[in-house]
Amino acid sequence: MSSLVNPVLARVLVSAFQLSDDALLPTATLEELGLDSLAVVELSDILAEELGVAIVDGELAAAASLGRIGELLGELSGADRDATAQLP
Amino acid sequence: MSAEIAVTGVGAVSPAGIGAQACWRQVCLGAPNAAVDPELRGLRPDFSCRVPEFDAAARLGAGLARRTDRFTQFALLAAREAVTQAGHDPAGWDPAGWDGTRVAVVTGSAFGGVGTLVRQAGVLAERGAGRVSPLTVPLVMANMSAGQLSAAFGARGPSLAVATACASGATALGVARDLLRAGACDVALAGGTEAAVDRLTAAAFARLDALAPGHQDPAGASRPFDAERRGFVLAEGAAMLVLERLADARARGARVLARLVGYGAAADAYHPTTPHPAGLGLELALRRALADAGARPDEVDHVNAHATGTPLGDLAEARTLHRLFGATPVTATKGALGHTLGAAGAIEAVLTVLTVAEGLIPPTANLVKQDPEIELDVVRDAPRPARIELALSDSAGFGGQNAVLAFAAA
Repeated sequence: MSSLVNPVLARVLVSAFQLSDDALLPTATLEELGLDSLAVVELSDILAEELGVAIVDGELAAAASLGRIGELLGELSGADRDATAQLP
Repeated sequence: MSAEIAVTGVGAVSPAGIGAQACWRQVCLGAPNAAVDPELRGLRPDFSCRVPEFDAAARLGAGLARRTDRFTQFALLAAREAVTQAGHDPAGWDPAGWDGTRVAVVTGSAFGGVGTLVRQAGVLAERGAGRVSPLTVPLVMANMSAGQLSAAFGARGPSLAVATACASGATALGVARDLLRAGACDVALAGGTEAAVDRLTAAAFARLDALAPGHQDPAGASRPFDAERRGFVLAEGAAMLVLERLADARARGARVLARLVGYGAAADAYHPTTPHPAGLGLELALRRALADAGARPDEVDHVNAHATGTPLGDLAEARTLHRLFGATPVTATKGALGHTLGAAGAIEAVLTVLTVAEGLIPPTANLVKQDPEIELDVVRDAPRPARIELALSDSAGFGGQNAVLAFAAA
């Protein structure tokens, strides 16, 4: 169920990649969901734009599952917030 | 093989909207549609002929729309219409009805995905290399209109893109015709597409002094053969045609709209942007198309002219056409549609096919006072009924490249 997946990730996969909400299990991989290498880079770009975070090339592809990608996005957003908080 | 070639389907996306019939109606009305273009704000000129209300995601799906530049999107839509009209049912494209290995795709474009290129150059400058879209290359490449069409239609025959600037659409049809005659395919989807109305191309064409200034009247700016013509109006669009050997088309009971009976190509070998003043290359291409069709100049019933509305280009073309065809009625459809660059030859091929099929020559929009140096019988004000057995459509591009198509009644 997509409620177990990062909501931004789920929304992008449904709206931009036309995936079914039901397919978005935390254990599902991008490959299983039919995203080719180009689509993974596209996804990375869209998420970086929407969340305002920097995602290093290959980071999403390396993450094993939607659950893991969700954790990664959480970490990146947190890191960005921390960085912002430290600004004078 | 010198098999006769049939046109069994046409499709267009043009400043008149989606569909070949929309384009035909607009041209027959002689209604120019140039308008102020918000994207060109602050430039001179600041108007163009846009494809109105084009929502690629709604028409092609968000996935395909994201993975294609606008020039490919136009080609996909035009091809879909042409294939449907030809009776190759999109829902039934199984190997039994559509042998994709025998279907060729030939597209022409002057600029390819220049819109994407310009936008991504902006991203690189403003936000850095890491934000450049990974889709830039597959969107920009000029051959992607052909590649994406092949993929969309399961067409595994030869697939290629040609570039002869503003003759590209006509060249694509000629090359497709040759592939059919050579037996390299049984069906060809061929035409031209262009989506190059942006600030950079507009500024660049303006620096060449090629664009009509228009002043307070954008709609009146594109005026081929008129004494007051000052240049062309940038436009965008696409047209695709389905070509097949006449015997094959008849055998499967397809409706033949017209026959493509001749193609001629020749170069001016003169100047990168100025047409040869005596129309040397154009005349060669016209004569080659006629020889290919086995016809004499006096058998030509109509010419759909290239006529972009530039002072020198229209005059050189008019003199050449007059020399060969005398008082044969001519029309210039860029008065209504503007200049769609690499798509123009294909859009005009579609309009010529419809002219032959309907027995009606569309008028030249904005022709108020014909240039006294242009001695042609230019159709104006209203469509002129005519019995047309043989019609030519000529195109010329920067680079001095000329292409002529000859269409005959079905």
